[in-house]
Amino acid sequence: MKNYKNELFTEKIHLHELITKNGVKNIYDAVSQCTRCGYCLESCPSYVADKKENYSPRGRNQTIRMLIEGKQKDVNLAKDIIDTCLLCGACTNICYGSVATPDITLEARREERDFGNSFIYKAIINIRKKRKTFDLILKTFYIMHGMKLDKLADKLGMFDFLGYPSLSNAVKKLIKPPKKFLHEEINDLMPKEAEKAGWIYFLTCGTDYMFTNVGKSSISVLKKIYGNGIFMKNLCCGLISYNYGSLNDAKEHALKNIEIFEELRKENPNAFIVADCSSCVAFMKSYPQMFLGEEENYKRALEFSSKVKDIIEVVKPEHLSDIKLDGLKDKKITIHHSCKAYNDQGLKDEEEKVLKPILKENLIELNESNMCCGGAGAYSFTKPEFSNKILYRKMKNISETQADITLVSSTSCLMQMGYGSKTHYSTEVKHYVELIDEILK
Amino acid sequence: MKTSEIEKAIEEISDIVGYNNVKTDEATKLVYSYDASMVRAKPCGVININDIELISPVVKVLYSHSIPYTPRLAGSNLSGGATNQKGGFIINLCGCDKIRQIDTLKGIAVVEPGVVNLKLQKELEKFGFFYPPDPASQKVSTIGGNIAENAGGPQCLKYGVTSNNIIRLDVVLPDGTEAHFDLNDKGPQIISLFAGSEGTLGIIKKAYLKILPIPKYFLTIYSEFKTLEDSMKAVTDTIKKGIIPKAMEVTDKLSIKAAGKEKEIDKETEAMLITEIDSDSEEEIKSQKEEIIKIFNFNGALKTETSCDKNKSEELWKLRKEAYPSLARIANNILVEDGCVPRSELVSTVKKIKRILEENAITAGLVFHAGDGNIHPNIVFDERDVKETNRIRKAAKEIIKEYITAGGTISAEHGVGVEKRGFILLQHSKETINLIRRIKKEMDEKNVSNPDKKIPVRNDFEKLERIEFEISENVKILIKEIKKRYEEKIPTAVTGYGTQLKEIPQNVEKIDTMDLKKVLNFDKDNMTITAEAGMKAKNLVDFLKSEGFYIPIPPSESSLGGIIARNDFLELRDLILSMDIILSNGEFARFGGKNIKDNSVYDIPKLMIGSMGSLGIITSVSFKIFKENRNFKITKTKNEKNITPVHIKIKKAFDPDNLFNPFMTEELYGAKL
Ligand SMILES: Cc1cc2nc3c(=O)[nH]c(=O)nc-3n(C[C@H](O)[C@H](O)[C@H](O)COP(=O)(O)OP(=O)(O)OC[C@H]3O[C@@H](n4cnc5c(N)ncnc54)[C@H](O)[C@@H]3O)c2cc1C
Ligand code: SF4
Ligand code: SF4
Repeated sequence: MKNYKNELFTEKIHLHELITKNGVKNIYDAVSQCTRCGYCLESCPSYVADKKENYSPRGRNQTIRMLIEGKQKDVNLAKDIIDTCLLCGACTNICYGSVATPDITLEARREERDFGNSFIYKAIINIRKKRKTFDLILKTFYIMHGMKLDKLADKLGMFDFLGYPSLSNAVKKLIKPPKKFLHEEINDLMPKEAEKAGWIYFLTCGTDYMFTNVGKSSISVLKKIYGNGIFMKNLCCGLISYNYGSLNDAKEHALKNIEIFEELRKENPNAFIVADCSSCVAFMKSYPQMFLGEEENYKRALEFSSKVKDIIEVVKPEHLSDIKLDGLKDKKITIHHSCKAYNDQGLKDEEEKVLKPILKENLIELNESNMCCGGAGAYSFTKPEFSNKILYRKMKNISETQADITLVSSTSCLMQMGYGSKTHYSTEVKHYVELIDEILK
Repeated sequence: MKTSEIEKAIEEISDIVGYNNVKTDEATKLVYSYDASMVRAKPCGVININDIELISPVVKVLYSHSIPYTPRLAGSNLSGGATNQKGGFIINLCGCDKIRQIDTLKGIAVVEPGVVNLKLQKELEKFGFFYPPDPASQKVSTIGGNIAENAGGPQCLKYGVTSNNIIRLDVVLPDGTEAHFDLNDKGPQIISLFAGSEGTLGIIKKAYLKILPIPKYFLTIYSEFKTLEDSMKAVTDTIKKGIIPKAMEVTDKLSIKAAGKEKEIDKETEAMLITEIDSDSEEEIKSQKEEIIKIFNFNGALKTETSCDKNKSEELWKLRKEAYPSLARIANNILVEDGCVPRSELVSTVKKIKRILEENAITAGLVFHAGDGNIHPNIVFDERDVKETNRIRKAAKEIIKEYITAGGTISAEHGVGVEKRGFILLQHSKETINLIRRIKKEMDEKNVSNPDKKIPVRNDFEKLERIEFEISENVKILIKEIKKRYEEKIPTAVTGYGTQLKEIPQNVEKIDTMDLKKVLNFDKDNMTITAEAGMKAKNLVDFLKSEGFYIPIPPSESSLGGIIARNDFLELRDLILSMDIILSNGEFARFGGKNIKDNSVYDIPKLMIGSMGSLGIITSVSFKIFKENRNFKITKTKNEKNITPVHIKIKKAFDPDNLFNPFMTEELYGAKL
């Protein structure tokens, strides 16, 4: 089925083909695989938040199919349907045909009038290219936050201007902005010997600019478990551009990172790349999709992505055997499975496998543990109403476990649920690796 | 439908549900133009109702403007039931999803229609209870949708389909009036009409469901067979032995192949059978297990594996559960041509289906709720390929015809909706269809409540030759007599053994079914018996006993027709599979056959329960039978008076001239005709 009925999804701004669980497919074939069975409905956070077909995976797939077939004329008329998707992948995970709904939906989003064309987005991309300027702007905000000026700034719409995903909410939700960004002090934390590294640390933006402690924990844990490692001095993984702006820009970032890796690999042939934000990791694992049809780059991306690991998958049960727990003894702990780990990477029980033997009955199972928390990058900023409903559901589930500590693996979840722990149910929201670090100490 | 009417209605409805909850934008209309079937139809708008108390006021407005509406829940039905063919409104009830009450003492759960089946199960599990109907779609499909489609699932073999698990329904009738119906109501069992009615008779607002304690023990038996026939025979032999497993599911090799799991099964294996038994007694599990394995081995099982461990059992179920998903991975569309045949016809029907598939070069996996005679060919295709789709459609029709000619039904559990309404003309007689139409007409005068569903819109009656019981000479005599009386408008008192109808007025002539006392069909393989309605309960029980079988009906002097007409005990309805009826105009209407499941038309056999001869003369009935008395419960029906506006309409649909037991009309139906 190669024949599109109209021009949609054929222009440059799109991925023409997707790597689905059933092989490489063009968008029309991929979306037509949705049989309309509805099996995914209850797994979809936006559907359960509002119980309307408009906000369901099936609704999105059918809308997009009708767009392609010309039955729906204008994507902008269906903006609400397309934009409310969190791209969390829960639907694909449960769908019998593994329909790639989030990927398909994102391609439709690229078709919208204002997608990626906004002045704000472009401004950020440009500022971000000059790291020093970006750092300076962000620091100014953090200082303002300390002085509570951020509320004013928010009112003035200044965060919108900055446009960093979720920044408006982020600053609202940011509990403690770091004094120093991680890239400013990372060299002091890394192992001193730089030879024959077993691992390459990829510093994600969230860790770098907001949750520096997560990065510190990762490095400390990696050192203990895998010994020698190096810092990748990477660029942003490109996910922001991929999701909110230019595909080309995302590809540029990817290629640059691939290049850095290829260079490092010469000296460290066996090293794997590791990062501590599941969203970035999942995206890097999907790099090849962006290079379908570009033979050489596709191969390089494939090689790169095969080396990328989530911090939650490199910590194994044996690394924590004969550990005696003291400080955590009476704490109840539960695990929120960040969607990008669980749904996209298929990392479904890595944390349990490690923690169950040591925490035993103190590790409490969380109902709907893999349902998105409503963070989802800029979602909490662009769709606050949905985001809050989804967050409420998540926090309600957590409150039922009565957990003292809730573990996550993506910085977006850290921010969103950290906020939820202040407004809904009080629990200490931590990155999984922070707990592992604590235990290993 | 005039635009101005729609606009007025929108105004009024917005006042009730809020402007935000009435959507008429194009994008919304498009996402409510489909369900899980192939049917598409664009509504004029969508009304979101999140509070069950608002259903009635909204429906009243729609009715007053004569605007058609379709209630909708998860939209997972496979027959087009949740689309609106007439360009009316979709009423989205998914937001009505509260579990109102769980009463483990009384064994009742009270829920709103939008409660997702699995969600209810999870809540019940906390109390050690469960709600038996377990459709494969239970992760999304709702109780309201399940009732409307009379959904079934694997464990319905033991516990019955949705209809067997409802106690009371609160309903908003097509004109917006509210009413409730209970199994204990006096008069015809109207509640039974709603199970499987697909929203054509009103909207279910609240449901009172039967819940049961989870049995303490269970056992899963996985087995493989050399032929499909062997596996089916193993199923019927098990059931014949008097064992009623919770589930007996057969999957054919094609499905296993499609799942890419060929290597996991024996080379010779052509069919896989998964059986599950449950009980509160460990002893019973043990003895049943031994017996089942003996039966399986006798039927040439290549392999059997058992487990009572939850995780291991899940492993054993895996191949069966993979059957549908694996097809979904290779295909864009799957047509599940759901049908049911008497268990004794299962093997031969499957052979014919396989031939049809082959002849049409169609890829399909076959799965069966084998214990029920329920067949699911899962046909894969791509609906974008018009030629292929037509070929599939043609083959599907041939398959449907095989169901019908085998004495089976066009719909076991997936409803009729739009997809199958035409097939009704092949299965049922003109008389039967016309009665169904009259019921719809009476209950929904303006034809607004989910119109054009469930009932054929065409008139080319072409009932196929099929395996069914002959109409006996005695019945023919009765028909002739009733026809004569109809022409002369002579009222009739329908009596069983004359014992129950006390004061029959002078002008009314009696008629009885005393001469109808034969067993018409006794099918040991299918575990059913069809007897004429004049047969004494005692005689039926004795007959079965002499043959080594059992039916849980008290062995009284009462006629079978009488027991049914009086609604003697609640469990009776779970035994009744089909019925033949003579209407007051002398027409003969047949409902169902020897099928364990039949959702082709409204459940008239159950409606007749409690009708006291006032709707029609029951001439014969098919019952489920058993091998032994397994502590069946007999609960006396309370027969509480609960007359609703529906009552007199039902009477009118059956007997517009008030000729059958006219002296009871006021008492039973609350009005004169
Ligand atoms: C993958 C898959 C597997 C399935 N497996 C099974 C199975 O094993 N067994 C089975 O029986 N079915 C099965 N089905 C079919 C389907 O799930 C059932 O028919 C289910 O009961 C439909 O429920 P729903 O909530 O989706 O209702 P919907 O599809 O939304 O509606 C069904 C019908 O009910 C009407 N309706 C909706 N609300 C009301 C109301 N409040 N009052 C009255 N009428 C109403 C609608 O108008 C429509 O006609 C399956 C479907 C799929 C896609
Ligand atoms: S996305 Fe998958 S699960 Fe959802 S309706 Fe489509 S086919 Fe069914
Ligand atoms: S990706 Fe997430 S939000 Fe989007 S349709 Fe799928 S389940 Fe829903």
